[in-house]
Amino acid sequence: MAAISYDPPEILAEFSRRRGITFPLLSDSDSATIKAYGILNTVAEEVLSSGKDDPVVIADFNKYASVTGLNAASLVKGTPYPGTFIVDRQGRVTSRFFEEFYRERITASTIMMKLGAASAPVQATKISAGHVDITTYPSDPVVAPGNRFALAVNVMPAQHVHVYAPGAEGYRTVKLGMADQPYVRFLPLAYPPSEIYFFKPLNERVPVYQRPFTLLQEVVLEVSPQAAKVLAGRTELNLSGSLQYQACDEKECFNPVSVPLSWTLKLTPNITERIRTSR
Amino acid sequence: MNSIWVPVAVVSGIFLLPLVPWGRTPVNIEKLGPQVGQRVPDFNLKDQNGKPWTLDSIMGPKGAMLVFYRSADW
Repeated sequence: MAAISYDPPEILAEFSRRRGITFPLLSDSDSATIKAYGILNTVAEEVLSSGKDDPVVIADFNKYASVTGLNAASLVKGTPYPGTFIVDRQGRVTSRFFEEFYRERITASTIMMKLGAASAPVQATKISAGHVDITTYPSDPVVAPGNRFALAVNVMPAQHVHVYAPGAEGYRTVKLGMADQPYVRFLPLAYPPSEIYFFKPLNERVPVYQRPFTLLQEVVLEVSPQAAKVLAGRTELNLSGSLQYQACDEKECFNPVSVPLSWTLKLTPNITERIRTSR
Repeated sequence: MNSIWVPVAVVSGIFLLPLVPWGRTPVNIEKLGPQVGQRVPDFNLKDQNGKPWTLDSIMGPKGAMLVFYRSADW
């Protein structure tokens, strides 16, 4: 993994020292690599030159360069549209993650989880519910406003047990419901692929999960001024929801259940202190 | 007929003309940069300790994750 920005090496040295970063932070101080990748944010240049009267340019600037202040445009100049490329050993892109809104950013651990490359952390919560074991954990133990992170719900059906997957008619299918709260946005959940179960007594074919599967609920902690005000004094973010499912084995079906779930994450303010203090 | 249509055309021309040289479509970040299946450009950049890295040297056994971000400074 490498992280690339236009910062000079001394800024990166100080930043990694303060935050204890050991992976390479690469300095692309003339933005040549950013340009070669075709992701240079040119909106600032446009605003600084001919585009200052074009409503489309202004809209793009507000969307992709949401920094305020007199020198906002000159700070943004030379930066990329923030995003992440995952490449294979041949350097070919296997997936890419680019954010629409400048200040909302998917965390690296969320990307790893989405790629199936992360395993459950030691501090995961384990619940033995009826006929299934549930393990829950967040992608990141600490989140900040603007983070797009994920809550994982790993479900392991007991032996010979299956739970109904979306699309199974007449059964209570697996569903993760999240409790709403202000400035927390839950993104639509994509349920993992299921398999078809043949239930002989009824000559029925239904989509089910029989093997362990993981639901990934992506969450955005909003970054608006109102959100910042409300979240300012808090050090914890508590999220709750419930997992509904109906389990059956080869002989019988059990009553549908709803298992309450909760996640507690540490909340940290956005880091606004600058590295460059004098100059 | 002509005496009616000519002024209409002139008037609408006045309103349309200024939009033409400015017009640009909104940025679509999904279309920017290497797409899935395409090869990313090589690079040669120094890290926070002055050590140079290339696409090749950053590679792990399964590939690499390249995170482009705004700035570590602000």
